[in-house]
Amino acid sequence: MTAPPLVEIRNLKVYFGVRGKRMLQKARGYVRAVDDVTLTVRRGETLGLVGESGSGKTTLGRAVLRALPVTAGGIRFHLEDGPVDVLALSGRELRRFRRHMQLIFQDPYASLDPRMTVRDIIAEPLEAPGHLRSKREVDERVREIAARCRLNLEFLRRFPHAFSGGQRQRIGIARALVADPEFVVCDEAVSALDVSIQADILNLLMDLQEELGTTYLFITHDLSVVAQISDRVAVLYLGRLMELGPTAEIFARPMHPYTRALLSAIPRVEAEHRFAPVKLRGEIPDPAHPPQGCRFSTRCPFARERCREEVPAFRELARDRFAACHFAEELAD
Amino acid sequence: MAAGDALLLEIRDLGVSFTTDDGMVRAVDGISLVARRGCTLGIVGESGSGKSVATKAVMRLLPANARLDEGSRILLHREEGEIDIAALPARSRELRRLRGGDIGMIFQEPMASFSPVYTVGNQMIEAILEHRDHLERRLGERFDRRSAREHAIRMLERVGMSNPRLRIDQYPHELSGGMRQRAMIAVALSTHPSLLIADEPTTALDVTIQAQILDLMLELQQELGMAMLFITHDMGVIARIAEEVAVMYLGRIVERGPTREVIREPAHPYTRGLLAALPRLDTARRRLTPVPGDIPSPLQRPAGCPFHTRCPRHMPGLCDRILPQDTDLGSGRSVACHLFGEAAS
Repeated sequence: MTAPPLVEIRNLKVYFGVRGKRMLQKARGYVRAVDDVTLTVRRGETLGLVGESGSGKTTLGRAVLRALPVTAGGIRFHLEDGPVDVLALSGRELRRFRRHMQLIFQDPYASLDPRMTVRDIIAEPLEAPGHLRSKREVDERVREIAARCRLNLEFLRRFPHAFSGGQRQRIGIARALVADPEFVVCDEAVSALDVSIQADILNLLMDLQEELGTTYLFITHDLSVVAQISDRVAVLYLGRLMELGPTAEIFARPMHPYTRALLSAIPRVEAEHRFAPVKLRGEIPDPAHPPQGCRFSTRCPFARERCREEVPAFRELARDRFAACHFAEELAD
Repeated sequence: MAAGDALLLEIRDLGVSFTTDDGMVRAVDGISLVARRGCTLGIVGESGSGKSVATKAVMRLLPANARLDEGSRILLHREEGEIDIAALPARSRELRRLRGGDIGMIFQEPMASFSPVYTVGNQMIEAILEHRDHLERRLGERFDRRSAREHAIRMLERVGMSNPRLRIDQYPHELSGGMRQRAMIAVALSTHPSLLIADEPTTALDVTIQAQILDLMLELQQELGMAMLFITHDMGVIARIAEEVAVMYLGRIVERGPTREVIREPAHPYTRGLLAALPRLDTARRRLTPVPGDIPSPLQRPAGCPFHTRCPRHMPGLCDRILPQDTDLGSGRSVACHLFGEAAS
């Protein structure tokens, strides 16, 4: 049984203008940071979004939160009282709507105001419009979420600099969840943490999801983290979706040559694992000048004439499994 | 393995302390290790483990507020004789000759080792000429400006740079991340060092590029027979590149041995915890096993075993008081933990 959709992303495009070398020169061209991405995040799931530099994963996450301008496409939230066209919201409506979505950053330190107490940092989202609460209610709510995030309640009166990376990330999580958002974008949320601490934060995120029913879009470059936390995985390359499907299936049997190369390149500790990365030619191309046809064609070991000419459709190849490759069926055997 | 047995670097009782506004920080607390020609020693550790400080000490690249312990020995066994790097005067000519000559270095951020105002080629040629005596001994060729340029081009080609004759006249910022890393490796290896120190050289790279760079480093090591000290926080990378591993925690080596054995059967509770905390690819949505607690602040080093504050097998009265010494486990393995020491029995 598939959960109902929470966020529907349709043909989303986010282009950035590239300026000329001289100042005041008009835009010379565009970086197609996100180029025609269609993706549904289901209620209560964790959708992992992976990609290397220039894949557009961070841009996609920010665009969905309306944190940067969208060039074209649609974003629809399915709330309990009906669907909302997020791109049509403006001004006050958008500010009110923001309580439904939150962001957890990579660097908890950079995202916490050093002059605010931990209590005030966590409480901040409750001060946004749509939350008419008394100070007492706010205090109660802050203590409740802090406890859920396994933060020592004595910390609430202190300032964030006094804390370790793991503790600061707990503060960041408590702040993101305090207003009970349906949807949270985690952008490299554990990437800056040491392994021994990272495991703890991943567990916390999974526990909170179980308790609160939050939906996560989990953005990371780290494939083993994605394997651990996600129900489904979406693989981005140069602004386009390459593959999408249930995590276990993708890791066991990737359908796109890029996913295959990516998975084979992870150095692993398992003794039985023979390290044999798929040899990829060259570098990730400049996103301002992406290749014609399939974006991966310049590095794909299986690329043929057609791949360099025609953009492959993102198609359903098996139940709940999608990939954008002309030859996925052939390469699967 | 025969050729690989030759001892190249021997670190004995290396200790490094920093004087800071908040007090004394003991970053490296008496470590000893050896690196052999043609072999890679991996040093793995998390924040505050002292892995970077220890290797910077080998090149004597520590900031002014750092102090080496009196008894620290950093012995480099060169063909032309042994030298104690710890005993060399700070701004000596000998030290300058060693850095970038007998000892090559690569870092996580290549921009840090390139000057932005000179071309890649200029910087390589300068390095080659600076170390021309050393290179003459290694290669039997004395370089002038023109032959140094040819040598630099050969090295850029060797590390897989496309179009090296064009690249050599480019500035570092004109190269992509992966290319810059290749260029830095080319610079480090252009003087044919006998020891290459690599401090998280692939950490900032994308995983497909990381795989290429690790492959390249292994190939070049086989070709040039250098010893490698490879510092990383990533156990997976260690498994790929290092024959031997030393696991550091709060300035001490807690366990060491052949990489495969240590990963298959970790002895120290910290190594066990570290491996158990790794997310795995084959177990979706499984709860992980974190190491409990936080890494202590370097200003508040625990007494006794540095790991006892987080150790699930901590023995009160022993671990919090007495610093465990290395216990030999046989087959090249050792561990610093009271569970294995004589004190435990």
